[in-house]
Amino acid sequence: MNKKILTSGCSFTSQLHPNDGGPWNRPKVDEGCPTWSDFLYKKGYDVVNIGFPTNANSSITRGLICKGKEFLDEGKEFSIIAQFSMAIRSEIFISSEESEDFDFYLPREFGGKHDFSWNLNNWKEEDFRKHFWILTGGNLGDDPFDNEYIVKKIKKWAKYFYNKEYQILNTLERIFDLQTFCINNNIPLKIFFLDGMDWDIDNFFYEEYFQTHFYKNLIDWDKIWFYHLKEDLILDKTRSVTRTLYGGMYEWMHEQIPDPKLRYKAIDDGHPSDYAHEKFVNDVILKWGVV
Amino acid sequence: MNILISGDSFSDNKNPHAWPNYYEGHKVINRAVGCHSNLSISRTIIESVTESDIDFDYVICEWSTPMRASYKRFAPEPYQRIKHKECVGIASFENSDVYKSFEFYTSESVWLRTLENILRTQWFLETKKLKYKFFFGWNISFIEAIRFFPELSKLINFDNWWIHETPMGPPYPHAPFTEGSEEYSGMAEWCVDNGIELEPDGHPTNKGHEMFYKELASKWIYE
Repeated sequence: MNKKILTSGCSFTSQLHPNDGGPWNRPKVDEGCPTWSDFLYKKGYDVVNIGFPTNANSSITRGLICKGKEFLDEGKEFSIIAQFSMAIRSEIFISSEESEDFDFYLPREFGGKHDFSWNLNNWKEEDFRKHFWILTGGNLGDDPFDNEYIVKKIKKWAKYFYNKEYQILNTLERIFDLQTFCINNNIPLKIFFLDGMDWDIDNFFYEEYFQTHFYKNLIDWDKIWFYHLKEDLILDKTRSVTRTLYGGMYEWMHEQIPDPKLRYKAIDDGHPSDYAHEKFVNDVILKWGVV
Repeated sequence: MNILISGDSFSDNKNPHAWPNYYEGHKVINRAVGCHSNLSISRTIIESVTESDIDFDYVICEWSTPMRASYKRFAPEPYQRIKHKECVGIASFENSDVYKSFEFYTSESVWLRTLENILRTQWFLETKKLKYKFFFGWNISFIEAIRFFPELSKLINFDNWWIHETPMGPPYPHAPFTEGSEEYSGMAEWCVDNGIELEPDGHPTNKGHEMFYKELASKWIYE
């Protein structure tokens, strides 16, 4: 039962931020907002969770390969469970050597002037004074982040660099990166998505996205868990969940947990409840055969 | 033998004397394009192997400067070079607009992308059990990648690379592409060290292409 499992993802996998304990010194269990990864640990698995709120698919993959290589060098056997997020999310690299605006974003505890923002990330704490990432999140600067410079930076990036086709292709490439890393190192892997919205026909395999199509045959689909939501779910007057063959945890919890008070951590938030996370482990993850 | 090649202008067969055009008796698919970025080079290799009806026996990949970026496959890739945060020519960086926003350019981020593109291609070819050879068109200062990302660099399988050892050593006054100074040199420095001058713009001459093929590239496919 003490097999090592490396997990990552966005806020559906970890709600802890660097300024409150994670991911560098993440407690084995986040008692305040436990996720599926925490419930795996509670069941006796030796889980290392490097998930992070606002995480993007590139940084999820990079973190897993970085930490995975560390485990390999130490001779450890482990599995990987990766929760991928929305393809729209990206990350902006900020370097103390080259980014003239470095100090605008640097948190106070590292010598900067600002509070730690939700969307700053790095794989190692000791690297923060040299460089870090600004995670764009899904709203590309429209979230009320606490540092106005970060908002301006993300909005500028979105204006000049955001390209939907690129983001979709990047996510497919990241799936492929993680799969080949695991294949070459005999690491059991399962990927699942936050939700199925990106997999709509207008996105991943949209006919005018010429470069995405060859990944259809390249990706090992058995290593990805999708939830088949057969019917649209009308939740209330303003919210619904669309039927899809490529659903993620979001579609699963809306169909499998009809009571919203049981389903959400907070009714106006949308993240899964502790109950939903534990049920996801019992009903879904433990049946994959990777742990 | 069916050979797949990608790279930038150092391998582009628009030049009829480019080294890939010397392979006689073999079927060569050359996807190299002038100004190709490493992302595009990686994508053309993966796409060709995956989509083509041809069963390739050997893949050769010439890697380019990390500063270049990619646009869309069916759009011309804008030429760009950035040195010391000054754009020479029309810039592109992932979506071609970095010349408007140099603040988004950092050496570390472009080296990380280049390492990822090399590793993605390597892992892809190894899972497909395809023989391959990688090399640099010129010294792109790969030592920087190792300095920035020592652990990630260790994942590169250098057994399948050709890297030019530099017997004469730096400087290379007549090799304007040369960005690094010591290790991990490529085709341009090999030409110089073998007494073959480069074109004034830094590209190999026809003689350089021919000698590179005869001395090196022709032999790789039989290793």
